[in-house]
Amino acid sequence: MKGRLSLIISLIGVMVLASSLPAAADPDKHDIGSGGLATISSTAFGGSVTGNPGLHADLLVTVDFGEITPINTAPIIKVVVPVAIRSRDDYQISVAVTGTLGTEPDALKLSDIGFGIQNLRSLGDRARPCGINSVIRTPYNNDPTTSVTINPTTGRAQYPSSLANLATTPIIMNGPELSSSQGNWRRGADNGYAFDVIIAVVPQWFAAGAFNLTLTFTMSSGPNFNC
Amino acid sequence: MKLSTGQLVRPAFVFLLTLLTAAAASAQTNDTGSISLQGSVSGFVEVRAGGAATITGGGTITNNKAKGDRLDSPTTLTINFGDVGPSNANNFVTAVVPLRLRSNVSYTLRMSAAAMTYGSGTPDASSVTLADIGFGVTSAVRDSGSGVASGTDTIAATASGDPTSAARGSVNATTGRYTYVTGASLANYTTSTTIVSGPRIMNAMVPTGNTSGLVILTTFAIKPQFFTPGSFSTSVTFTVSNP
Repeated sequence: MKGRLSLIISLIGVMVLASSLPAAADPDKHDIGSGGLATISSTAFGGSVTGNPGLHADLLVTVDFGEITPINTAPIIKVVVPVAIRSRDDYQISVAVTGTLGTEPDALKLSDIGFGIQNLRSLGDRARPCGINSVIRTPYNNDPTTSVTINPTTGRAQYPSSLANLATTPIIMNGPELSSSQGNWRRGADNGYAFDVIIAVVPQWFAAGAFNLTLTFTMSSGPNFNC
Repeated sequence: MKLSTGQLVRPAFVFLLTLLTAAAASAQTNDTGSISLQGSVSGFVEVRAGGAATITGGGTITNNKAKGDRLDSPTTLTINFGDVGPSNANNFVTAVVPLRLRSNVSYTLRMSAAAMTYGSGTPDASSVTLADIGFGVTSAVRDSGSGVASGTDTIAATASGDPTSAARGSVNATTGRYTYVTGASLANYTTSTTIVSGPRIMNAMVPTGNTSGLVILTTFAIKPQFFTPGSFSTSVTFTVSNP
């Protein structure tokens, strides 16, 4: 009888574990995923953006700015990537940049790609209210498409925050527990927050070439955050 | 019912393993996502007006341009030399057309002249021909300041110079007709011919940041003569490419 009871318990354990095992990217304490449909403002010269807009999807977005020489007459190319975040304790988000760029002085540099965070918003009822107090770290709290200026000396576009800042200031946000403990801990549509990553490039007389970069967002335990 | 030790231990082991697995899953406290960024920068060149064209010794200019304007859109810059018969007592009718070039790669500027057409009168050997319209590049200077790269630009030797200068033309002692040296009249440009070349012109900068670039002064001239009465017309096309 005792043996049967143990066997039953262990089977239940396996079943519970199986049912509570999240989908591929569902974590236990921190979750970062797609926050909706990513968009690009200019598609006339090969610009495109692809990614799964579902709130259950991983954050896996590919952006092609297309041609960014002056033949692209768009004053600026704006990409908006909604990101959903959920957490069961204080969190922080860091971003790392890897990839290849041209080496000429006039090739596109990390500082030529504006990068900002905007529009932190609740996903719904199971988001903890305090999450809205999350802090967008300096200097990332801006929309690079509206804060862009032209350097009067060089004529090159410049931003309050760009991908170049990530080398020295990789943490872009931190905050408190975002998700209510109600219900299962799964990648829900209402148990966290979302924000927009805004990435921008102004077509310029860059040196001819191509670039390929990857931004890796990592959500992990952050400093204590009192609400 | 009696249970053996093995019967008791095996389920317990499975259960323990299950808990350990669950604990390992609980230990995942980070999550990641990624955004891939890519784009391309092609070689790009452009030719625009380098400022307002001017004309002296008669004639008019219509659809004149400002620096940075397209030469042929929405209107086409038109030079009317006016009367180039003997009633025009000026030494030359001379039009200076500034061009502005910009590029992120090395460039070659070429020019071609279309065949002459005649709109009135009966053309003959003494009508104005392409050989009667002098042409030359008198300077190629990069604007100083923001956004313009340093570099040395080369004016093709045959195109270099003011067509009204003594070195570029003279009265033919036999015919009395004014004759330009090779490269100094439109007759030498019936096919697209290089007139200026050089390295990249612009550093990385916003195209609308300023109107700077490489400014090239081109000169077109006609010496008034006893041409056959009538009107004439041609068009000149500037083409910039890499190289």
